[in-house]
Amino acid sequence: MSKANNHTLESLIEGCINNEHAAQRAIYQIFAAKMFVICLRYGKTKMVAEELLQTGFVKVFKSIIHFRQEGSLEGWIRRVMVNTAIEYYRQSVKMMPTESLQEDLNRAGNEHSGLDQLALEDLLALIAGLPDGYRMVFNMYAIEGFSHKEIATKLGITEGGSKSQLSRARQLLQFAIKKRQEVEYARLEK
Amino acid sequence: MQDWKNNADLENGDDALNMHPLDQAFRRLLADAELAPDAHILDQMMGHLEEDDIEQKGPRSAQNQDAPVTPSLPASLTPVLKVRKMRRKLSFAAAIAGVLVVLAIGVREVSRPDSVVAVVTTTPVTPKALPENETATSRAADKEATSTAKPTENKGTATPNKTGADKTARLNGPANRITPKRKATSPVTGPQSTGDLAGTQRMKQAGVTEESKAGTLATSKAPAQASGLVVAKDLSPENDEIEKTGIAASSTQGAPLPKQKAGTVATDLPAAATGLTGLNREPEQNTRQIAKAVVAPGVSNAAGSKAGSEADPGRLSRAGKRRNRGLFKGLVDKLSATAQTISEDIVSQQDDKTVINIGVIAITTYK
Repeated sequence: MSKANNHTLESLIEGCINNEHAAQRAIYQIFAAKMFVICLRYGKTKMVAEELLQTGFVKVFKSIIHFRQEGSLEGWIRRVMVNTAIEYYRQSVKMMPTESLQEDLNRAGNEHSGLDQLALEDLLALIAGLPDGYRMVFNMYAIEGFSHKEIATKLGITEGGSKSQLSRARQLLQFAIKKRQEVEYARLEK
Repeated sequence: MQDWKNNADLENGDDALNMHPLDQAFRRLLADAELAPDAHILDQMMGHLEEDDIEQKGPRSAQNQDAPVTPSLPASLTPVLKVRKMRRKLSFAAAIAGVLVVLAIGVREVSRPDSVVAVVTTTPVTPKALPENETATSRAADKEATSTAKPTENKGTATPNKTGADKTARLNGPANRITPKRKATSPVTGPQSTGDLAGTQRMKQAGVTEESKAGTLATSKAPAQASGLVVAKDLSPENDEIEKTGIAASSTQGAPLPKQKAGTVATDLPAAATGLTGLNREPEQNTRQIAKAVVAPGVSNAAGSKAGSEADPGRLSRAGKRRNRGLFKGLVDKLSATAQTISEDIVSQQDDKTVINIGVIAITTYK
């Protein structure tokens, strides 16, 4: 971000600290779209994603006084959204029984994903099609960058369980992507 | 690529290289993706924020006020406070009632007629054997002497000799005291006795070498009270060696008892036997040895006889009249003796009551 934007963000942060609704609206307008994608990734449905987005922004505005400006405001708001999704998951969704997978994880990495042909909504639909546990582990590990140990701590599962769920999520995603590609090819052949 | 977990930029590209291709593809496609939410989400969120502000502004506005806010107890404690106030009032009422009860008991004890209180008296009790002919007056004297000794009694006893005459004087005291009217009506004896006993004389009794308290007698006795005790002293001022005492003091003098011969004999003493030593003797001795006088040598008996005759001329005249009444002789004396006995009993009871009440009050106050 430029210095002007940084100055604007600082003033907006001050406005949010002073509980100014205009500043809050401005912050929301800036980061809502990106945060909504995150919420769509963690939420199974759009309604859940909207609830997560709303709850997450309320937390942001209430706890923005604790923002120490050591990192970016977007990264801080993103963490708040992820933590809100994790909390929502732990409160409402039970983890599915996991089974250890003894398959070669590297095998899936060698295949071509074919995601570049998919639109954002399709990608989000693929992720949303995963079971809750798989989706959580996949989002936290593949996109947010959490380690299996951290995932296990946050979700209250074992580290092995996190790994197996991640592998299972990958398999399901690849299967879904392949199936979607086949459907696309069939439509093009017609 | 952004390290969203640590909110920092990825510096080491190895992490991206070590990642699974599928993970890399998803991160690359979704990391910076944007999708605008519906507009109503913003409205709902702002509505929640405003509600939270309203909830928080109430306490904040109250805290910002300058006036100190008194902490209010919850409504659940209101009945407890009422009960505490009632208990406090009841405790006050109980304390007041207790004080009133104690006071009532004290007043009741004080007002009880049969209250028995031991009163310590320093007056020595004189056991004496009364002769047969001493009746009511002597008994009354005993009662007075053994119960309580009033200051007026001691004053009225005209004790010339402190050691030898105590017993007789105390016995004589009530006899003088119980006939106040008659004593008051004898105008002659008082002034005479006091005048004669102006405290310049010394009285010497038989067997007693102590100086008499003539001055005390003269100053303490009122004229009416002194009438019962006729002290006849006649000492010539120019002769100090001569100490003659003419005392006609007996417990029965002035008392109209028929068998009480002491008073009558004393009043009927001849002029030659005016000096009496009855103050340091027992009543019976007074009755028997009335006429015994210790007369210093060189002193004429005329002075003593004069003093004795001037002691109570009114009494003498009345006694003479009473004895000369023939059929009524003794009847009047009996009636008067009975009346005196009754009145003395009443007086003694009242005195007892007074003393008892004073004792009760003293004990109550001490408690």
